[in-house]
Amino acid sequence: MSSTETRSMTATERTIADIWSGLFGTGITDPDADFFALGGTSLTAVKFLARVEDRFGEDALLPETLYEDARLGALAAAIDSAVAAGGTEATAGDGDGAADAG
Amino acid sequence: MQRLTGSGAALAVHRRLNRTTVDLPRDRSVPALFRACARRRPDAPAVVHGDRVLDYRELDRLSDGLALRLREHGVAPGVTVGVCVARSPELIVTLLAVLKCGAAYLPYDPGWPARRVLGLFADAGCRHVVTDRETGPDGCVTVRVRRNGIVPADHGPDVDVPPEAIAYVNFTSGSTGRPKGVPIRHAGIARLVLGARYAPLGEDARLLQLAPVTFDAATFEIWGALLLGGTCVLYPDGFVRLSRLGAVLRERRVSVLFLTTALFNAVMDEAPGALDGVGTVLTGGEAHSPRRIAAALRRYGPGRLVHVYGPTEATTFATYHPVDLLAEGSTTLPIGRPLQNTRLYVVDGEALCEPGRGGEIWLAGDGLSPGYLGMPELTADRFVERVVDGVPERLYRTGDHGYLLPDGAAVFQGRGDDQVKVNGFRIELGEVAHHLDQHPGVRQSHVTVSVRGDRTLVAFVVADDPSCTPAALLGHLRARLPGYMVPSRIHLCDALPLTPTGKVDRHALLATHDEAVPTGRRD
Repeated sequence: MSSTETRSMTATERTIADIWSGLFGTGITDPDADFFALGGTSLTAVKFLARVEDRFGEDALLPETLYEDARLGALAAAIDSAVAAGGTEATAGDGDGAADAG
Repeated sequence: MQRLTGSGAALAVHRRLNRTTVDLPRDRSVPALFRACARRRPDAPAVVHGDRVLDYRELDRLSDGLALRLREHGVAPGVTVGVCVARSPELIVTLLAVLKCGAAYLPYDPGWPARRVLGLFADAGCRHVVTDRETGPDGCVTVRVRRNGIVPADHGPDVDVPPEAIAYVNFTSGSTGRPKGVPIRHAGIARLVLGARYAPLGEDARLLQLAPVTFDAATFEIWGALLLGGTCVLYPDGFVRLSRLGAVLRERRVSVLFLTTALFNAVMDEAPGALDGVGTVLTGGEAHSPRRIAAALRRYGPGRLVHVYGPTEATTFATYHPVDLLAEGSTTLPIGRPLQNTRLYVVDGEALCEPGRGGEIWLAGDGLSPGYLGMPELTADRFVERVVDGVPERLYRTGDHGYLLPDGAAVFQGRGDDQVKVNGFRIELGEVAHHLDQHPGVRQSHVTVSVRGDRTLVAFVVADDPSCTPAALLGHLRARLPGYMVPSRIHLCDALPLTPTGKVDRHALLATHDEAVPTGRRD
């Protein structure tokens, strides 16, 4: 069960929490939740990174960053700093055909 | 020799299905086939890695140079050489150099526990290593290769490599806790890539090398290009990212791609556009989802998608099924027909099955391994000889269940044992349980697969000792097993629940798992 003292999440954290809820089939409310502790595999990582790039732009989160520290809060911070550095670019076209496959 | 019996109808359908003979050149070792390509097209691109391109002449000369160096270190015909080199032109040069010595390569992963690597080396009698890392395992003669550090030569060692020689050894999970070494002959590789009807291989083909080289899909990706004059495009990163995969496929004009079922599904769900420019997409390894196959057919059209099937013991692929139409509401995707120079039988007891009748899938042909390393009993059990339709045949009993459709295409139905596929990796649940049970604090354990979200391994343990925590058990397993065999979660329980028939109640255990992992906080 999630701890009651959990602090409120930032917008980026909430977006990640939404993605994780979809991937793991369970509600995520804790910024200390860890991708791999939730059961994330290298395959789940491929999906997660694709969805992050869909929302935040290409290169918003590199696999190496995920494998180094997979806590939700740390990942959100990494995404925020990548986006702030302006190195990312939205790739709205990439997820096109996913609608009927999802 | 025992005979496989069968009704007229059973014999007839197998006879039709197994008319797969294609003439092969007499000299069909990997070095001979590669050299023929290098002589024919010395300037053609052989290996592409980011901005680096090796043409056939360079690859031939570099592998000759490294082969000479390996000879000086005692790599003679029949020797097995451990290879731990990151995906790079140097990796391809190394594999070819080992084969030019008449030796066999045994790829291993730097992330595997040292004691596991030493166990594999002991089973394979492997005392030589080529690596791009600082050191090799203790006690091995180690040859280091560096980027751009290999000295080319005009001629390689003067070694005649027969097609029956062993080319490589891959290890697969073993239910008794000991991994099974599967040696594969040069003839097995030639069988896989020469005269192929399942994919357009040849001088214009550009194959992506994406699989870890410890996984036998790499056999197809590398030699499917280099023994036919095509180009092997190396995926440039250590981790797969779909945006990057799409860019590499586009920019490097990849024409043939193999994706495990799990990765194929992820591409279909997240970024189907990534495959738009690829001529032929091969996929297989696990049961396919008809929904995603249908979506792929709609998006890519017919003639592009091929379902493939095959155990490591029969050299990468044994059957193929071009997916050109999918019947409305269809729930099964056949694994199809045997590849060239490969034969498939569905056997129940000692009888060939008629279409529609279920049995075990047995395979035959040049792709078969000579048998498991150092496991004569298991080899005798799985590799058998029978007279089939009047002809003596050496057969591999896969343990996979299936049946034939009236037109002869085979359908895979599952397994009767504890072998599972998780994320493309073939795992014997018994191997994981064996290592758990070795822990002194474990009284009883059960390992299974959770299908909530992606398929993951989950273990349940009854412990004798309060020091036996999930974290301690995970550490114990990580020191013994590769990462993909370590459960993503270990639960402690007071007892393993049983079904009314006295078996461990998997569903009850998985329900506990689902309740216990709502937040994913590490404990």
